[in-house]
Amino acid sequence: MNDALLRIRAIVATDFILRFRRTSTLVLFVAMCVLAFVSIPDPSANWTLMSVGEARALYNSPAIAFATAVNFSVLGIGLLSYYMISNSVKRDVVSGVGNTLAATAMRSWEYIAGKFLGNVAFLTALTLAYMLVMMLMVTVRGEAPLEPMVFLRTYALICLQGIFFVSVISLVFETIPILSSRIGDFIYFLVWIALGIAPVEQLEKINLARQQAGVAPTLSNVPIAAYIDVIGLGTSMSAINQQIGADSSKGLSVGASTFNPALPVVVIREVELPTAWIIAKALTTLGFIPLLAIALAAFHRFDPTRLRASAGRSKRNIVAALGAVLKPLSRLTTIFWGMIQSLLGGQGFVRIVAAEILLVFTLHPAALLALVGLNVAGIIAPIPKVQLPIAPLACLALVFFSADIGIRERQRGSSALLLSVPMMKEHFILIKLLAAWILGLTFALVPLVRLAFAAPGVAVSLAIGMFFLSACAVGIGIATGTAKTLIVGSLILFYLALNSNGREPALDFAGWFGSAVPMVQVGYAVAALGFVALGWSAHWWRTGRA
Amino acid sequence: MLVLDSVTKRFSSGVTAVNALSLRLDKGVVGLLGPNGAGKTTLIQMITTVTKPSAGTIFYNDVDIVKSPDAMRSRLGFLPQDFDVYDNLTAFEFLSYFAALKGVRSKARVGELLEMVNLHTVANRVASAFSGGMKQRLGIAQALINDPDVLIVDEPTAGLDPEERIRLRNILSEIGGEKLVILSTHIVSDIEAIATHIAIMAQSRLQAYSTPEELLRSAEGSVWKGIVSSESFDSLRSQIRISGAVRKPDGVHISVVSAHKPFEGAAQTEPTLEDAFLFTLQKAGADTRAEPTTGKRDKAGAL
Repeated sequence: MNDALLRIRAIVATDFILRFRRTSTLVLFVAMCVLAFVSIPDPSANWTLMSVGEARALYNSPAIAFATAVNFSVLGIGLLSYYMISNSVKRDVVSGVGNTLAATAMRSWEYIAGKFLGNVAFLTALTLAYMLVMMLMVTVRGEAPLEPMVFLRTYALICLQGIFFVSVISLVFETIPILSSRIGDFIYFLVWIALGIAPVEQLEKINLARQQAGVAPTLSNVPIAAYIDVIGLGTSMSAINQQIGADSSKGLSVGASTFNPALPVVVIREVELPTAWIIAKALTTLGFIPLLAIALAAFHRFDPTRLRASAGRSKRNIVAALGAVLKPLSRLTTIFWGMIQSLLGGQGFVRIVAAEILLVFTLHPAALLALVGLNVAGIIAPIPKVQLPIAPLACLALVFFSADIGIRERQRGSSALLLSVPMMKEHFILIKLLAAWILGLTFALVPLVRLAFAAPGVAVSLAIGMFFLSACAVGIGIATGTAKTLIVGSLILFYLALNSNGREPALDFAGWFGSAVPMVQVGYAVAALGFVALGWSAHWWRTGRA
Repeated sequence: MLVLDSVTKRFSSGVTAVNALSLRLDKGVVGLLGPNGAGKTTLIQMITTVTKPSAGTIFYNDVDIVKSPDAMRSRLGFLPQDFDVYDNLTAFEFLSYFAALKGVRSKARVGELLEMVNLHTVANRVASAFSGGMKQRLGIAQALINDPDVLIVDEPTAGLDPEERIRLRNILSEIGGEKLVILSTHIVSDIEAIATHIAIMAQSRLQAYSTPEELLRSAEGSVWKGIVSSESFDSLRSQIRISGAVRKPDGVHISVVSAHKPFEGAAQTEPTLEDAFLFTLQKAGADTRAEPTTGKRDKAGAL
């Protein structure tokens, strides 16, 4: 093996070890096992993994492989994995190892290739682990023999392209300063919607039209939507629809679906794509690799001059620019700092919570603008507008400005300093939780008061929804050590809630549509306590044992 | 042979970290001394090819390493100032990783180096849980793993206990017999026993480059010592720069680096290397009040 291959192999192996030894990977794997058990209910249950119309799909290997691979490809690979792997270069910068790496004979292209293959190896291993768990579920809940090769082929067909795509794009985003910031995280979320969801309907229509016209698929007539369907949802759904003669109007449902037990079960065969489509997908997959040239060109190779310039550029996003413009506003907070001293001087707990909230406004002057803007809008807008869009915007502000409230000191290495403050160590979780929640309530102060008179149930939902988001910010933040998980999770929740348009009361977590029943409100309050317990456990694990 | 010619590093902010520095270095231990912010780390980053100079050239064995950095990287061992390790990798794995990056294929070499820095008994422990001194020793091991021709260590004694410091100095001294070792520090005692040459940087420029003996000679007649009362010491401290002071029963024993007799009763004395360093900085017009520090004086209770 020549030196270049030796170096690439070392980078891949080290990345793989580092990721697999993280507690979060173990948590993820346990979550996958739980999800597998929950998502494939017993055939006698009143809901199922996959249904066609009102009929349940038989639990055979092709059906379970297809349904679980699609779910995993869309959410696991397409979305979550991006946020999991888009920190491999940053890790080398933050850990300080990058300085040492830069002075070795390792070439930049070897580093980028190693990181890319490390991403592919990690995601492939994760996919295989998930697939094995699902194969195990066939032996537990299956109604037909386990066919391992069907699983392998189906997962390869649906997931492989997404693995390559996310592995490349995460590296490209990470090396381009502006895209490596939170703005990049948000942009990727939009990319995921565009590439994951958009091609589905289009492919279904094209496929149906061609089927009716009797046009055979060839390499020359592969629809564009099939090329951009990098997470495999559109192509595999259209293939199954073709097989069972269904379309979206007849209701092919993957995930938790209700069904009529009186109807005979539908037997799904292995997903098969036209050869032309498979070739097209393979070509697109290979086509991602040249994009690594962008990552290579943008890679700073830990040069302090370029890193400094990168840091400057990554701050040149809209939020940071706004923050810079509004910086003078943060001086207003000095008045309140003085008030904390004089009014709350003797009350330690209240003073600390107030200081935490004030620190958010001092660090993020844009939060002051959000506070004023949302409350002024809350005064002048009619009640329906207060409910939507002002309440969702207040929730978004809460997520954005409190995402790092539980971890900012840890990220800056000043945890010990903070925990030495009287009462802080014992009440850390409660202080952070209250600070985040009260911060959220200040964004929605006027809307809450108006809703309390006009629609009390909605006001209660909004307050509980904000409590839920605050608990997530603290619990998830402390458990994972990053703000990304909360941002991604919240974006998915917001997306689902807005898309359901109030039809599904369980998704109306903050009362935006007024459809949340008391049971839903209680459910989110209990879930919030669960996240608080998670945060408390993680905090105790890190500090309490010392 | 490492030749730097008019090397300059200017940041986009307008700050010049290194200004037109020229130097020729051959084998031996070169102590790179200078106060914080003098430009030492930036100079080292340019020599190690981590960053490129804004102007000037750096040649190693007649190869321009700004244009062909691999010529230096393949023969380099580097311990940066803020060296750290990954979470969750053992010392053995971490060192094996760098061995692979540097093209070292022998696993025995990894074990050999761990033994050399006295980490062989904890080779399978996660390195991020190591103390600062242990991490620094692991850093030294990774710098030496490829048996480098040029070894560059930036502030290597940070976090090391006295025994480890001596051990490190011995290692560097031994390597310096055949190869080029550049040791950057602001602690004079780190280099006074082992440096064959000393380069002093201040205010982004090279202020002196000579052997320790020449440097000591340059400060002859400029170092004064004397005993003063505590009251006089307090007033003297505001008038002149005192390079060393130790309280004793008969008064405060002070030493001063100055071209003229600094106070009544002061007597000329032999300069130490630290005095010579301070003298060079004074000539350069650099602020010497906070720098440098020595282990010996710290322990003796410097004021």
